[in-house]
Amino acid sequence: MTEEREITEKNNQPLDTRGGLVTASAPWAFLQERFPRPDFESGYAPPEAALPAPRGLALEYLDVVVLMAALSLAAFLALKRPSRRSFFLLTLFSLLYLGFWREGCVCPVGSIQNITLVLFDSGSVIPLTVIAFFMLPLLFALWFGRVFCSSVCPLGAAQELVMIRPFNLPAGVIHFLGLLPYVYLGVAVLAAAIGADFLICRYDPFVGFFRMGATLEMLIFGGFILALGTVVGRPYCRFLCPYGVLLKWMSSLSKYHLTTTPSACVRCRLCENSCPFGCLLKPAPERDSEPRSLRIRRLALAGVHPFSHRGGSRSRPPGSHSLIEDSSDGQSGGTRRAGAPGNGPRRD
Amino acid sequence: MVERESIDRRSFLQTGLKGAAALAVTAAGAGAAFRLSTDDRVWQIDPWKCVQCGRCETECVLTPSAVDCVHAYDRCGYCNLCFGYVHPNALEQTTAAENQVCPTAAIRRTWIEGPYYEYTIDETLCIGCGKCVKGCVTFGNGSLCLQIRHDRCVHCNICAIARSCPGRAFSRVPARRPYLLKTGGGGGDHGRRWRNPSASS
Repeated sequence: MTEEREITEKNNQPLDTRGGLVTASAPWAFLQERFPRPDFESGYAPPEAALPAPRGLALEYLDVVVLMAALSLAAFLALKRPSRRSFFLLTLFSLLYLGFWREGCVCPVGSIQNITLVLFDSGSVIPLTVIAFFMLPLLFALWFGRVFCSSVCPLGAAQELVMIRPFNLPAGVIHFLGLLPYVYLGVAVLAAAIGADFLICRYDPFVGFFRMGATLEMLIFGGFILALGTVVGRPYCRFLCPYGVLLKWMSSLSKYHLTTTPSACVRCRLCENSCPFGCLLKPAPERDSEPRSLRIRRLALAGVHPFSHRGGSRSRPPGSHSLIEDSSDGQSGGTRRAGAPGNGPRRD
Repeated sequence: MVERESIDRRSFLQTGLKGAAALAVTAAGAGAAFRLSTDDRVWQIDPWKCVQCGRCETECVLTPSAVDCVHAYDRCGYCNLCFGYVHPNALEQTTAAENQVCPTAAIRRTWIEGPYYEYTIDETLCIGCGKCVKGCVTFGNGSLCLQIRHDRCVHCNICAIARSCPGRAFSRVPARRPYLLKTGGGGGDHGRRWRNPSASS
């Protein structure tokens, strides 16, 4: 079933059944040799059944190379040459190659389950390509931030391309929905660990589009996510994708990160308005130190109340309000917006 | 006016936790590398476990299914009355369409000599329903079997048919030996249950 069990070598060796003992796994194996093959007099030779070989191993490695090249290009574009046009072309390529051409399997998102299964099931093995697909985006996130999601991942690319008029959601909504991937990751890892199912693959909303065929429920779900994606930036990535959780952990430690320069910020808030994912927080001064008793209580609650860390906008420096009002007339917005890649890594 | 970034307790804890999580993820990837297989893995049906339920036709993400009937000729008895070919309860024992088992007439019957006929599968017509396999296994040598054809299979991470297979006949096999066919049974070929198509035999 779901496990990648190696067909043991015993099964591939010739078994001697002439002694009458057929060690078959099916009880009717005895009954299936009833009609001996005739000795043909006309010199008839049975044909070989034509059995097409699977895709070659070299092509599987080519996919890894393509993934690596796309990640390198995405990192280069994000950090050195940010431009919407280049990102758009890379996104389109990823969607066509990894999505429609390779039909979405194996993808880094789903490889979580292969890794989990191989760790928990002693009988399973894993191909090198799957490990590469799992590790490469994580390693890139560790160095360059989350460059995988919008322009390399075929799922992210599909949503990126339908993002027509994204509206910013309230910060609380984003934060609450942002907890769902943790739940999804936990359930998916559990299901894979016990060998029950690969939930992430089963409920992948876009793989049906890539393969041009899916169940009605999944088509409706995928269509809904795409329709939602026209007004909410990449909803699957932000509010469901379990691989995004791993990338987030890696990205928060990344070495060369796309970042703002707080010392040079004039608080025009153009970047904040142009980011469709609500990643850029309002500029705020350092918070004052809290009284000791409050700090102790907060530390005690830290484990049970994870909602309270987005308190940066509580106090705003005086005078910043007028700056925001003055600079939001939009006439200088074009150049700034073009320079600020909307798909940069989250600043967390 | 470069400000020295001071680290407060919350960000220290957050970074620490995320760092530990990132380490765990990396360790998971590294741990998986201990069970590395240099070969790729593809899905295949074990014909000895197949119960011919018919779900291979309907559950595959592809239409028509990537599963087709494959004929292991060296196991075939070349019967005149083949129950993989005609219904056992057919009104007349003729090869008329209504008497044939195959719903798409994908089995071609060719006379060889005497009472012996060769049965060939037309893969372009076969839909993988397994009706002929059921007839052949029940009344014959079991030389017809269902196999995933790797020119069509898209190698889903979780095979949709495997998930619903009642015989648990699906497994991932090394891509070097991508087919599992029954062999033996006929002529002098006793004793070989498995044939490796890529090996010289």
